[in-house]
Amino acid sequence: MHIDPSSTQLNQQSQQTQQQQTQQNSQGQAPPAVPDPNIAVPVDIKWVQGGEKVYVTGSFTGWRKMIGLTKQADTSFLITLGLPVGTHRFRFVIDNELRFSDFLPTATDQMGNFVNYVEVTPEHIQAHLLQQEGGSALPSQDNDADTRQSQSQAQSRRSSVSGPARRDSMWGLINDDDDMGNGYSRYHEEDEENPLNNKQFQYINDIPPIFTDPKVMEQYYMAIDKQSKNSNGQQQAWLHPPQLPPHLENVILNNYNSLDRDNNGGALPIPNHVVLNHLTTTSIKNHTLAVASIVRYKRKYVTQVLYAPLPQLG
Amino acid sequence: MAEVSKTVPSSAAPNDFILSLSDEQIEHDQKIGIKAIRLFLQSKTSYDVLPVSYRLIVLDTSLLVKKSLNILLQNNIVSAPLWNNQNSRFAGLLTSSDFINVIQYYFQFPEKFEFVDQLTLDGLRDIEKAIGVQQIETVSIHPFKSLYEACVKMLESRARRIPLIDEDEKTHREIVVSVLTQYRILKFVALNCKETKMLLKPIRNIQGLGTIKDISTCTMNTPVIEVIHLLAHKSVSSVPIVDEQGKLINVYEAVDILALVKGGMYTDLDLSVGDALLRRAEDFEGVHTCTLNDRLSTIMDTIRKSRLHRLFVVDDEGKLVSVITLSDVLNYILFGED
Repeated sequence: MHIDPSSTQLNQQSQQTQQQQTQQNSQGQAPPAVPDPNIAVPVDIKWVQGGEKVYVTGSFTGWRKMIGLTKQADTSFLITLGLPVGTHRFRFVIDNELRFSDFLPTATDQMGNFVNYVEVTPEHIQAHLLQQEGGSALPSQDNDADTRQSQSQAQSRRSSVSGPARRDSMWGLINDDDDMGNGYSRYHEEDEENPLNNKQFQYINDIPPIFTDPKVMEQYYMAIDKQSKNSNGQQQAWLHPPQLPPHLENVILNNYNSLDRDNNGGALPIPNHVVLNHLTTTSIKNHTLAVASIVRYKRKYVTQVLYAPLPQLG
Repeated sequence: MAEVSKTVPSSAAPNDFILSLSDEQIEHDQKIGIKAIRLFLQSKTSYDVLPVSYRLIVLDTSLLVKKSLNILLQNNIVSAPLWNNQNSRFAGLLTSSDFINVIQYYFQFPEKFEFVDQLTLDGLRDIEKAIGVQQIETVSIHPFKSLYEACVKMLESRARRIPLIDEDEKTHREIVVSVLTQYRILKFVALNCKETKMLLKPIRNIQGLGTIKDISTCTMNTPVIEVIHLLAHKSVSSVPIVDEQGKLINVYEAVDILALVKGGMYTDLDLSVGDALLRRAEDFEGVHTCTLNDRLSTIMDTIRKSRLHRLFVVDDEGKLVSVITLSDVLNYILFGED
């Protein structure tokens, strides 16, 4: 199953930068295993079904604040929001009426309300970060003027509309601060220049002694050990490799409350992509085996639980 | 006997706005509302109703019937799709009707009861043949077909739920995506169609909803096995329980049978339906009633707020008059006002 490329514009970017990504990775800058929740990716939210005053409200505003969309030349409405990784649900308010777009992916939430949603994946985050770096080669060697120039070149490839026009929104909405609640902020292109610019990376050819010399390693461990004894042994966990990758430990099925009768659809929390296509089991009771697996179906996730008898022996 | 009863706000004080409307206006609004809801159902697919992430429980057909019952009860569900691992195909749905059939079977053939512990889910087809139940092919639908089509199929086959079947891209085998019930579809409409507010026509004037049906009833003392026979022979999903004056006091639903036969007690069902009700779970949805003066707008509102699978129509004294099922409501939405 693959993500439908026509739904978000982010996908086109990630396809472009796929090659660059593998090259960059081998230079020693490892992509984060769990995406930094603070990194936001520009996401276009468009409304093409007419109306005069168009707002959007959703999980990224705590379903309280409404964000205005700017009218475009082709009579559609657009806003670009900086959203972190995850699935974001939203609805539109058109002339004071709550509606959903027929042109964006839809789903029902746990309560049965029909909403639009957009998914920001770790791949989107990486593609976005690469776009920002893509303009500059080795940041430590460029002077600031050059990096700024290449950053703005990278910006011109991006999907957002011109920034300044939004500041003087005709509905005077931007008088409220950029904080849209729940840790999300309105996306401004100028913010792009900050994240990676200040980090200076120094590349060397020699492997640091901590990875090669057992004595240095031992000293390091002992120092950590001492530190952990002071803080009640909480650090010690990292010395032993975990049995399972930590993100597999959160089994969303365990969060399901069978007794919640409002939940007719069997709705579950949205899974982290890394737990897909794994097999989970429960303890065998009464010779009945129960296994489960979360798979994608088109743009949604099905947690299939299969109950089967233990195979008879003999 | 503890009785749980809710009433749809009925003829008590209809608001002034509705009173001010003329009959022609109400008739007109009703037609527009129904047509808009019909259009909504035609434009949305079953896939749209599904949550972004959801659970689907599937049972292997080689499971024992009594174990499958425990699984249903444990997971607080009343039905599950079946999977045949021999030919890797979807093998129908397990519903409360299957357990009713099992009870009927052991009633007709008591000597077979000693083998009850070996009865597996694939054995259910043979049981159906033995008691002469008409074997209906389980209808299914592709998730990307419209909700309208899904409802039509359910109405034609008199099913209350429909499995969504697609084909796996790589293996070309059948996959069960989910099972959609009439209730979920109606709740979806109630939540997302503001046009339900336009349905102000009293149901006494609506053909199909207001017509008085001939309903089989029982009293608290009726042996539960007789109630089960009624459920089977009349092909209904519930039997209302009335008192000596015909007032509605409770209901025995087909899904209550799951709790009844939990211990594997398919025979020895002479206990009264009143006693059988003691086994009912505490989260029972309640008995919903309405009068002939009520409107679909309030009914849809109730569907949106609480779980219900039928509404009993009662008169001012609480005496049972008729019943409106979710199938009736869907039938009206799909084909009414034409």
